[in-house]
Amino acid sequence: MKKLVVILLLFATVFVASGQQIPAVQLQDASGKAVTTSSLVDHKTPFVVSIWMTTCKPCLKELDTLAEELPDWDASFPLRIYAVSMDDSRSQKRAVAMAQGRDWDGITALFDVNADLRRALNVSSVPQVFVYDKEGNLFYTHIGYRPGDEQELLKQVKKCFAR
Amino acid sequence: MLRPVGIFLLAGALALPGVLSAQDRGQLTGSLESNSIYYLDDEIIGTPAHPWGSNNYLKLDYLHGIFSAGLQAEYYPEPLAGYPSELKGAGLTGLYASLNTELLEVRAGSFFEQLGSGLILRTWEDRELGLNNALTGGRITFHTRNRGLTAKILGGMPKYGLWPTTRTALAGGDLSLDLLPLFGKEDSDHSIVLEGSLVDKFARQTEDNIAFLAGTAGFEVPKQVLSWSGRLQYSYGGFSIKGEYVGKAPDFYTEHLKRSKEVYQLKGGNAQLVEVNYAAGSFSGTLTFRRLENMTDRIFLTAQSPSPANTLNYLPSLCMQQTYMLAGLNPYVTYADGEAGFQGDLYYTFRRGTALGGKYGMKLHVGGSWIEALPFALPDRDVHYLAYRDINIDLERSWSRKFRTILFVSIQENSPTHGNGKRTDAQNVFVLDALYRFSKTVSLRTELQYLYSQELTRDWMAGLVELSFAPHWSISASDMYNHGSSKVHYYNFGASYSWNALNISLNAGRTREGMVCSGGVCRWQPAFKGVSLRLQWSF
Repeated sequence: MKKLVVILLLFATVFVASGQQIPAVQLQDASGKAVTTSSLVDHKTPFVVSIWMTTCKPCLKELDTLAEELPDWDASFPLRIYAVSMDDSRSQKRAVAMAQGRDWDGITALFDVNADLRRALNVSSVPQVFVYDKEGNLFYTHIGYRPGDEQELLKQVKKCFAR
Repeated sequence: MLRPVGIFLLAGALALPGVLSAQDRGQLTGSLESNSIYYLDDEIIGTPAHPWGSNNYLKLDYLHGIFSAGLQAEYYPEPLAGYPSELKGAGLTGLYASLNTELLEVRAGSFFEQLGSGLILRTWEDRELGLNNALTGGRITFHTRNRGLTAKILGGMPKYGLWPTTRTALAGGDLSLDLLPLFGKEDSDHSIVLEGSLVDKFARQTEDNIAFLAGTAGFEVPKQVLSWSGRLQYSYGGFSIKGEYVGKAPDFYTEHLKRSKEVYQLKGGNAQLVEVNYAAGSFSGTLTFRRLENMTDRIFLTAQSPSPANTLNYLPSLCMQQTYMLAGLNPYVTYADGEAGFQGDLYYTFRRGTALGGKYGMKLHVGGSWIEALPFALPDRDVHYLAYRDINIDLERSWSRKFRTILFVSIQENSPTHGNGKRTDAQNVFVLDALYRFSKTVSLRTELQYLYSQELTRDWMAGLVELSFAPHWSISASDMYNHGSSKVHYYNFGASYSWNALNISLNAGRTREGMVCSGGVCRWQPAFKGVSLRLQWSF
């Protein structure tokens, strides 16, 4: 088993350099309609995907803080943020209500009901944010949230615009 | 027989990229996670039997155009204390190949699936619980171009422990009709979705189970159990309502009698679920009703395996999952033999500039649940009281750009007999969670918690201090103290480092025994003192 792990890790390092395109997965919007992740790529502007859960307090802090930062954000960098909830069927209805009741203006809530995006992105703990360029290639990712992380995230978004 | 097939699929998955040209070699992603604990002797709270435990996971996914393949390997030289014992060793717990086009997805190997809300079928992975019941088999999904129709057929054997079991197999299908797009009204503001599922389970008993059932039950457990479900959802603007009905053919059922006696019988099952959501402006609310009757659906039919991984459907607790330490001390666990209940939540944001919102706004959440067991499922049918109820209130306010507080109150009442006795264990939990930002990157978070109770272990208090240096470091210290009964401290010290998709955390301290719940499913966790190291890396 140990040999297998070593071989797989070596194999992984050869291919990690490849650009990671956002995986094609089907999500839902607040009304339950299907939204495919490929439709988030508009070939014009980068976008942010924030993976969150209703039971994750750092996730809520991160999204609250981003919502607070957005009114002061430089309009010359039109920013799209997608908050993708990993809540399962037990708490998905709460995630829908929470996304609307917490007043996340400027953030689009989506729902990964069967955890397809979670598995495709290899998310093992939340929150995890991803910045994709206008073609849907991964530019930056970060696990966890500490107050102030949003500064680094927004810095990376501007870098992505300049790419 | 499965292992040679697995090795063949693995070789194919790994060899494929090699034959592709260097310019077009596809994309490989993956993750590595390792959780290890070294247990220290503790005369007060006890010490696990084995001095250490380690759970390790490696996942790889390869994508090239419409083709994808992947695997997951797990290694438990000794599972962490409280994890299912069937996990010991190493295994290839996931292996798949898939073709995915706009209209069709064909997948062979392992996969996770949820039909509807999971009452009829759910296979999923939860590493907090040591649960991974992925199906190994195949699935074909077809969509129309406008997603008005989605049809799915699937079949496979669920994983139990580190490998799929050959004793149980499933076959099923699901049809989802989004009626308005289907009839060309894609721009309508209304949405009506009609869905249905069928799942057939085939189970072969072990010799031990056959002997046990012949001796005590006096009947033969069915080799095949059919389940079905129908679902209807309507939404318009901020309003939506969803209903689901699930039925199950006669299956093994344990009837509980007085004085802890049990009688085994064959009995059908059913479940009903209704969810209503409404949102307008910065207000939203949700209300759920759920009723269950003999809905336990296990990989192995007998009641002999208590592992949380021995499941094929999803019956989470209807109440809210608590996140603060003391609020989650005495969680409610679903009574799948027969229960009914309501759960609701209201969210409202007092916006900036309003009288109550002040300069930075204020968020309010009020939620609650009320659950009762169905009388026929209780040992004494003449005694029927409340099984569980709670009310939870959060008030979150920013006082300045630097200082934010959350006030949380949870009032809970839990019956140890699911309402088959007058006694309930009540506990009232009060939390003050405060965050102060010294600068753009340095912050301090504190939690003060108090649990008031006259039952069980009586009063508790807890505190937490966490200092963060964004975007990489944080250190924390916490203590839970049962001053009402045992006088035991459960202290913990931790440090965590993050860099892009890498996260490493080191913790030392005591963990209390009790139920560890994730997504409303629970496992028993023994008490321990130890040093833990956790590494997570995704690439």
